[in-house]
Formats: sequence, C-alpha cells, structure tokens
Amino acid sequence: MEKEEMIQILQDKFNYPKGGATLIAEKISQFQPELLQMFTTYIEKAEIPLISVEGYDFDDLINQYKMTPIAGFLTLDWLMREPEKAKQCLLHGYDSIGKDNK
Amino acid sequence: MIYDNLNETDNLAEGIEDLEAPDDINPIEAGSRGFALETEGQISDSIELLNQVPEIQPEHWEGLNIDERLIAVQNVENIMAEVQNRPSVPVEIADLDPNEFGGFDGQSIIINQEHLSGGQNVEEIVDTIVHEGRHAYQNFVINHPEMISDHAIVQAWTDNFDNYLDLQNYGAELYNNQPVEQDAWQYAEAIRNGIYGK
Repeated sequence: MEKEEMIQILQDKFNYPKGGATLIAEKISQFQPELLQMFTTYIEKAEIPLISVEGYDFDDLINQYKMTPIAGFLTLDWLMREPEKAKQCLLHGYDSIGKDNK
Repeated sequence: MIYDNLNETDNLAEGIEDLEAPDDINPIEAGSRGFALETEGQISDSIELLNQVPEIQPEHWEGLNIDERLIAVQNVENIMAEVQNRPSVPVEIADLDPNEFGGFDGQSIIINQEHLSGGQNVEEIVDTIVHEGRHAYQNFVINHPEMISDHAIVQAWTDNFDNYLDLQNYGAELYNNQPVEQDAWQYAEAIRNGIYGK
C-alpha cells in the first residue's frame, strides 16, 4: 500500500487529522514484513491479529490500555524494535493533558 | 526558603550585565544552556524540599488514609509550584483505568483513586504528581513565554499542546517521544531518584 493511500485511509476510515495520519503512515511504512502483512489484513478484512510481542498481546493493548487498533499496531512495532524502552513506557502507564489559556 | 538569597542574585545579575558575551556562543545555544541550568536548579531545589516532607516517606505514607494522602500530594504540588514559580493547581482524584496514572486538564492535576488508595507505592504517586505538575508548568510557560530563556522550547511545547499525541490513538512510542512527555518523564524521574534512590 502506498503511503499517500494509507494517509487517506487513516483520515477517511479512522478519523485521524492529516498531520497525525502522515506521522502514522510513516511509521507503518517501516513495519517489519510480518507485521505489515497483519496490518494489511486488518485494513482489508478487519481481522484481529493473533500476535504477542514481549508478552504483550494485541488484545492486551486494546483492552488494558484502551488503544485503538491502529495504536495497537504501532505499539507492537515499537515492542519489536525497542523492547526495553517500549516495556518501560507501558509499565509506567499513561496520562493525558489539556490546555488552559490563562 | 529557596528565595532567601534573592539580593545576592540581584547583585550577580548586575555583574553579569557588565560582561560581554563570547563571540562563539550564539543566542539559541545560550538559551538551551540557560534552560538546562534552570531545569537542573528546579530539580535540585525540589529534591531538597521534598526530602523534608515526612508524609511522602514510605514508612509514614503506609499509615495514611486516602484523605491524608490527598493532602500530602497537594503539598507536593504546592512545593513544586513554588519551585517552578507558577501558581499551584488543585489535585483531584478520579476513577481512572488501571493503566491511566493521571492527567493535567489545564486547571487541575488528576490522580488515579485506586492508585492513591494503595494500588501503587508512594514513589510512583510522587512521580505522577511531579510529572503532571511539570505539564502544569509547561502550560504556564506557554502562556508566559518570558519565563524561560529558550524560545525554541516554548514553541515546541506550544505546538505539542496543540497537537498532543495521546497513547490511545497514536500508540506508546509517539506518545512517549513527544516533547512535553519526554520533558515530564525525565524531570519526574530525576526528582523521584533524588528522593528515593534508583
């Protein structure tokens, strides 16, 4: 799948803004072949991948971290490339921020 | 108090005005160094002051109920706000998902109720309060850019607050590596290690 097509799908089907979709498409274009194949299958058939990386299942990321499937794929990719950093991040949980204009 | 030596600082500033900047330091480089020094100063002052708070020592913390713990973490936020030269914000508890440790919503720091009740140790709780307080500082700096010397950092934080990459939609890597989270993680970790050791 070409990067431009991916950006369009991320915007149209998953409601990402253009900037966010571009960032994500860049990451996806660098997925390892096995993960890229699973991602393509998910996009085409909505088939959830049966994969576990460093003890994290795709389902764990969706259920325990409330990630969207796209975020789940991106995190599996990070677990493959930089397992220690990725596990450390997941272990410390997450937060969220908002802006105050005062 | 950390501001007791303000007069000495004023005198130093007068002396600095007389000095000429070396030719080989450009303003951007000087701003970055200034910001790093400001941050290091905040971290060392915070460690010194938080080490004097008995309630956040593990043996004392274990004996506190959730209301007393909330007062203790509000005290931590008040100290951090003083060190960072910004108004303190209220700390509020909320029923969050187990892996959602906290948040800063622009007005308040939010902390996971189950974590405060005992689901996480005091080191992790203090780390969270300092981390969220750092986001409060970033937000304050965005609205008062004259507070720090490195304008590139103010711009990066401004852009990042406007285009925040949440973990749920962008995954752990993009979330973790964005400027405001990198800054908050490193800042809180340094203070946590300074109080409790690695």
